[in-house]
Amino acid sequence: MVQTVDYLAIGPPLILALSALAALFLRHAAFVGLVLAGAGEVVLLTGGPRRTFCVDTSCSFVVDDFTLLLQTVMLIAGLVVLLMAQGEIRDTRLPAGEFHFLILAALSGAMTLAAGRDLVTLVVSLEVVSLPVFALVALRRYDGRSSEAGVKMFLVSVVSTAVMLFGISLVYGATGSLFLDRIGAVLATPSPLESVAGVGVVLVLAGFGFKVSAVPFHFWAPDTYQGSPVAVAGFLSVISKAAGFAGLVLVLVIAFEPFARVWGPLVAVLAAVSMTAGNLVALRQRTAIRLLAWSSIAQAGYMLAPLGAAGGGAPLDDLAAATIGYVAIYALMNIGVFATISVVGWIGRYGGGELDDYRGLARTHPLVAVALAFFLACLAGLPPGLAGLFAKIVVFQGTILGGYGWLAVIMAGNTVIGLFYYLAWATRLFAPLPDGVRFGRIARPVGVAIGIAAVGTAVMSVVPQLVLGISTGG
Amino acid sequence: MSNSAMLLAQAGAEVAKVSTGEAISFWILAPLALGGALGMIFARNAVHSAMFLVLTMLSLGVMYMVQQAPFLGFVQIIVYTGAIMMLFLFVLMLVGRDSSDSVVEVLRGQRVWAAILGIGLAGLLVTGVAEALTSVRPVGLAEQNAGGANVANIGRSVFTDYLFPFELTSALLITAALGAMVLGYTDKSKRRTQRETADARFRGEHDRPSPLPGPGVYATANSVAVPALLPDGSIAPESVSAIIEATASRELATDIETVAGAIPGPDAHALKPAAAKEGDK
Amino acid sequence: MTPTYYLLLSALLFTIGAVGVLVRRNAIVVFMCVELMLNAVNLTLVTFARINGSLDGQVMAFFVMVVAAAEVVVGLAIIMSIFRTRRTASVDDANLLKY
Repeated sequence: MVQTVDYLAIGPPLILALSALAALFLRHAAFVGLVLAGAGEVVLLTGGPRRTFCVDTSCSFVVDDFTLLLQTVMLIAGLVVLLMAQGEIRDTRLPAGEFHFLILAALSGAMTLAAGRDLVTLVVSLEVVSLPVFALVALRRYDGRSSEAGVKMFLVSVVSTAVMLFGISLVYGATGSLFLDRIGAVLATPSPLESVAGVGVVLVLAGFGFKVSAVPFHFWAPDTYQGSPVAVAGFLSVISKAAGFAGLVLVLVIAFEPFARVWGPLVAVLAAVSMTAGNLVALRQRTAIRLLAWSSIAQAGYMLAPLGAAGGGAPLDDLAAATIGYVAIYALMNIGVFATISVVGWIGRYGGGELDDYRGLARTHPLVAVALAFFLACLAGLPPGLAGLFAKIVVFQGTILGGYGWLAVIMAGNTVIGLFYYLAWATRLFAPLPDGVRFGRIARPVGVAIGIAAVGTAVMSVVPQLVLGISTGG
Repeated sequence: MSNSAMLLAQAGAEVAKVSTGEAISFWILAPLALGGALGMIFARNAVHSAMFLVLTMLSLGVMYMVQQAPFLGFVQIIVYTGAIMMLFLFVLMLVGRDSSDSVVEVLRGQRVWAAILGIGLAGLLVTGVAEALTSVRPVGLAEQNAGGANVANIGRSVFTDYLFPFELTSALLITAALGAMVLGYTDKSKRRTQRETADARFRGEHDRPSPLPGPGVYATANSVAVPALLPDGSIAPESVSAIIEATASRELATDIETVAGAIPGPDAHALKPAAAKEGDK
Repeated sequence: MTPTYYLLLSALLFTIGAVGVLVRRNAIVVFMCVELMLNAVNLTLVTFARINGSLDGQVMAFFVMVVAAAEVVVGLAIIMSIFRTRRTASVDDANLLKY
């Protein structure tokens, strides 16, 4: 029986896909598309949950609170990425139409992933997010670093896809279905195929671990961020990671819920190792973008921590809500930092520069420096960065709720370590300007990008309940 | 319908064996597939690796057909082997044929650790799968494939149950094609003239203003393993190939020791480790 | 023999592919090892489709093939572009980005 299609539910990703095609030919089609997709999101926000592409009771595409939160955050982050890319596209002569097409295609894949509720949709949308990013990372064709970063990221990503697919095949074998809710129902009943499903769960977790750059699957991240254009690094760090976490939460909470005692401790170990390794190595970094790469790895550890406490018997919905709340807040904080570093580069070129290049930014561009300091305070979890503080509180609560005190202690230690390098960077902004250093004019699109990210983070500092407490509908 | 209930019901039943025809074909194809896989990872020449992978894929295609998946078997042979592996061979011929892997390990013990990891992973997967499935009776796809309806039923499944992922894969393919076009595009309109290239070299846009010294130039022997000498008598480090360098510097060290200082005065043909005074310009 | 033997074969093929990814140095050969892993996935899916008696596994295997094809397209394009700048396809020579 042919399925009915609810076009309003699939509207935002569909609009983005069509505007991606239009962006190949028309100059401002990308921004028009983002605005229209945002309007579609607003319409969906006012209505109730929608389900489409259904087979009996299981649906492939579901729009509920979880989906709407992630899609809205991804749209805002995508808008910031496109705005901050404008200068780099013009000055380094990247192909503009193709760049917009690839970013919008990846963004529509990410939005679809947040709404997918069966394994085939999740895998295919994960590929739709990843493939344009391979091309984007290697886009500066005549720069050796860019191609090298592209090859590294590509090889690691395809290996992770293969591992995840093998896990999915084992889970299919054990349960006989590909829809997440049916898998959850079958796994809850005892069967002789439990060990098969267990091995499958571990492999799927390993596959997603690559996508969210958790240690020990993180080694592609620093080189890839450094070799790609800054806008693409921002996209990877925020939207790609949010999509990976969306998929991970959906799969773990809906499909693998009965196996929480199997994957919970594994996720806890991944979280602890990611936080610690990410923070310790970030302390040694002198280049802004590598510091951000390692800080993203550490932040992925914070995001995994509530899920790591799943083995303790706490309701999975609360833990998932903690993770997704942190992801949403982190997305806006981090994209703000990337937008700000896109104005500083090595002489004449883009790339974020060294940390010492930021000394004295507050003397010539006070607003930008204050915005960057605000974002860094949020990432560290200090007031006045209230958004980050609330996010950290929420993940702490989740971890303690699950009874994993040791993980909470490690998180506390890592927050302190993180303070060192975030604050070291922030204090450089307010140092006296060294002789002979000039910061260029901030181009208007970049200024707007920083402004959007700052306003979004400030809103979440004041009303965090907008993004906290939202879990998968189940 | 509950698959696990059906499987539980059969759990006590005798394990179903397959027909002898299928058993024969398995015992012919499985060693071929394994041999192809092992040949692929051990072959030194990349084109040989590709041919071994073709062997594996063809045996897998026949295995799909034996396992009541005729459509997938044909697609495996026509699309996977016939199109994708041909694309690999094209790119290998263009790009990777010359760069065969050296035997020098970059990470010490890399092969040993990889082998250990492989054995561990194989053990994990095999035990996880084997022990749970000894009590399972396969249901078989006889009714879905009755009267050649395998293709029709797969089509019905793709276009009704899995319609959304199918549309998404079409978006994936368009995106992949465009990404590949962007990466492969070469702008032939602006070629630099020789004068512009020389200016760029001396302005420092490349690693060095002059071409790399060839091996054996101004040295006492005419061999690829002998390094070239710089004007002050020291060894030009880039003149020996990276693969040979490991041996060259070790073996040459004794030669350098014996020859250094033996000939009075600067001699461009001497093997000196470092310049003590100005040599011939 | 039972259909379980196919699963053992696919587990072995997957492992061989994983070892190949770790050991080989030529980027194209590493990618071919990943293709071997994806083929092992397909064999697992087809076998489970037969064991479970539903065509879902074959449909998923079909989608895996499409995904693999799309990856091959973009991956080989990236490898060609790195060849153009570096004149080599060996992953060991990719050392511009230091730790």
